This record gives sequence, structure tokens and C-alpha cells, in this order.
Amino acid sequence: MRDCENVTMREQLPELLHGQLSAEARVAVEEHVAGCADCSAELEVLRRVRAAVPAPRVNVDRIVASIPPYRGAPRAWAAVRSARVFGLPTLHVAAAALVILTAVGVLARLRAPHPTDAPTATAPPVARVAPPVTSQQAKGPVAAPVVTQLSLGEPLSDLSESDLRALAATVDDLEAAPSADIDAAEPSLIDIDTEGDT
Amino acid sequence: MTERNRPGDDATDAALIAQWKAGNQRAASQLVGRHASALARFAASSGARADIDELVQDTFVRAFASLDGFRGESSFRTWMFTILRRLLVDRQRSAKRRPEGVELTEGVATTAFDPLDEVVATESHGRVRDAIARLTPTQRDVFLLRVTEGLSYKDIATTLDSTEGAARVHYHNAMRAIKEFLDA
Repeated sequence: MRDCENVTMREQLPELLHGQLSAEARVAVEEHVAGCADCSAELEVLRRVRAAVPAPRVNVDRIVASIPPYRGAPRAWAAVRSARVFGLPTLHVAAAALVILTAVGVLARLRAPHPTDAPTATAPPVARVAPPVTSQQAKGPVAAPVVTQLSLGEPLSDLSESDLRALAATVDDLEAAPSADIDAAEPSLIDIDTEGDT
Repeated sequence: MTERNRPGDDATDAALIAQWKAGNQRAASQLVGRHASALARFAASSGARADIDELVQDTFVRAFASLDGFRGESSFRTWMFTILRRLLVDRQRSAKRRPEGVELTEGVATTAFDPLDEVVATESHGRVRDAIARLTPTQRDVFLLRVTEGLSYKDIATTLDSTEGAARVHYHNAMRAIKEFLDA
């Protein structure tokens, strides 16, 4: 017994045996079998196999009696359990999402800088806000607090007495500029608006 | 696979399931009567012997208990075969006769298959059964589901948790082996 090379027809022999073909397909396969010794022999084998394997007897009544009546639609939890997301059970997807989120959270926490690791040696130059001067408020328009980065200029302590007085006089001459009482202030705490705020 | 109805029984499996859910217990009787024999035949051909009745009964009890989970992606009969197959695997695993996942190599015959002990068979039938007995368990399951039950490769793959391609290969290998045995 050989195998027919017409696979399309040969594949339909079991369906022909069980009467599962459409009328049109059945005619086509039957016509092929009638002219094909290989398919005819194979169909005979299928018939012999089917006949040689009968179904054992079963007690249908006993089986039916063992089937309990329907208990109603599934409850909400059962519905959740049977629901599917992208073809996967919902609970499985939820569990996977929880694991992933937990893992991401743990990783983020591990990679975050610890407070003791914060850099301390690279602090930028300190900028100070000059405290308001009392005489400044009394004299006229209030200028915005002046910010001076002392590190960019020469320290006032390097100026001579005469330079300081000249500088103070210049400042006093400026309109809307606060007067400076050079004698009352500590030189190191004096803030100077070198840009002039007119 | 199309749903099978007995002569004079026009209700589809889906309609009978709906009737049973509505309280019609006779619908369950019709479903059992429609599919019990095929399940028993598959159970017998898979090596089950004295407990075939119990196996088929357990299959129906499980199926009806979980009918709300049946989504109709396959036919009701294929779904039943799938449940029966799992029961068979569980029993065989517990009995350690045929561990799941260990597929016998091609050409290795099984000696457990003799589903027709109680049937007085003709000599021709006996020779065919001898040929079937020489198939591997997987070849035998695929071949008989295709030949005696008329399942498609897709339904066979669903039942056996395999693929259509694998089912096709097993079927043709089985057919070739049976032809060679019968020709010898």
C-alpha cells in the first residue's frame, strides 16, 4: 500500500468516512477515490480501524444521575477568575503586574542617592542677601535687597580708610541709594551694589 | 468539528447546554447520550480498562460543574475529550504507568493497549487492533481521534495540548505503520 501524492484528497478521507464533507467536496473526493487505488485502499483501512474499535458500553442513566443541577451564574469572584486579558487569565496578569511594579520600586530605591552620599565640597560661592538698613528705609524709596558676591571683588578690608570714605560718599550721592554709615557697620558685612540701583 | 445530533434530535450542543442551565435536566441526558460512547471509546483506546464507566462519569461531572467556563472556542465534544484526556493523564501519572511528558520514541510499541478485552472480535479486527497496539501512545491517540471520532487536526491538538502540525505528523506516521503491518 502506497501513499497517494494528492495530499489534499488524501487528507479528507477521514472526513469522508464520517460524512463531514460538504456535498461538493464529497463528490470531488469520492470521484478521486474511485480512480485512485492508493486512496481507495487507505479508505478501506480507515473503515477497518473504525469497525475494530467499537465503544465500550457505558451506563448513561448512572452518569446522568451523577450530574448535579445547574447552580446558577458564577459569582463575581468566579467571573474575575475566569476573565481573561489578552488571552491570559486576569489574575495571572494582575500578579505579573504586581511583581513588575514591586521590582521597579525596589530598583528605584536602590539606585536613589543616599543622604550621606550628597556632595559637600562643591558648594557654589555663597551669595548673601544684604539685610535691610534702617537708615535706608528712612531715607526714601526702598531699593530691593542688593546681592553682592563678595568673592568676586576685593574685600573691603583691603581698602584704606580714605578709599572707604570716598566710596561711602559716592554711594550717598546716588539717588535712591541708601546712605552708608561706614563707622557703624562692620566692614566685612557691608554689601555694596556695584551696579548702582537708580 | 461540527456538533453532532442524533436523528430526530435537532438541538445543538449549545442549545442543550442553555436548556440545562434553565433547569431542564433532560437536556443533560441528551448531551450524555450524545457523547458518552465516543468518550468511552477514547478512554478504552488510551489504556483505561475496568474504570471506563467511572472515567466517563467523572468527565461529565467535571464538565457540567464547569460549563460556565466553556467559551465555545472548540466544540463541546472536543472540550469533553480535553477533560477526559486530563483525567487520564492524572490517573496514569498517579499509577506511574505512563508518566506525562515522556513520549515514547517512534516504533516503540505499547503493551498496555487492549481496549477490547470483552469483545469477541473477528480475525480482521484482531489484526487491526494488533497494528494499533504497536503505535506509540501519542500516535495512537492522534490516529484514533482522527479515524474513530472524526476530529480535525485542530481539535486533536486542543485535546492533546499539542499543535496541528504535530498531530498531522503523528497521524501520517501512524497510518504508514498500520499499512506496513497489515501488508506484512
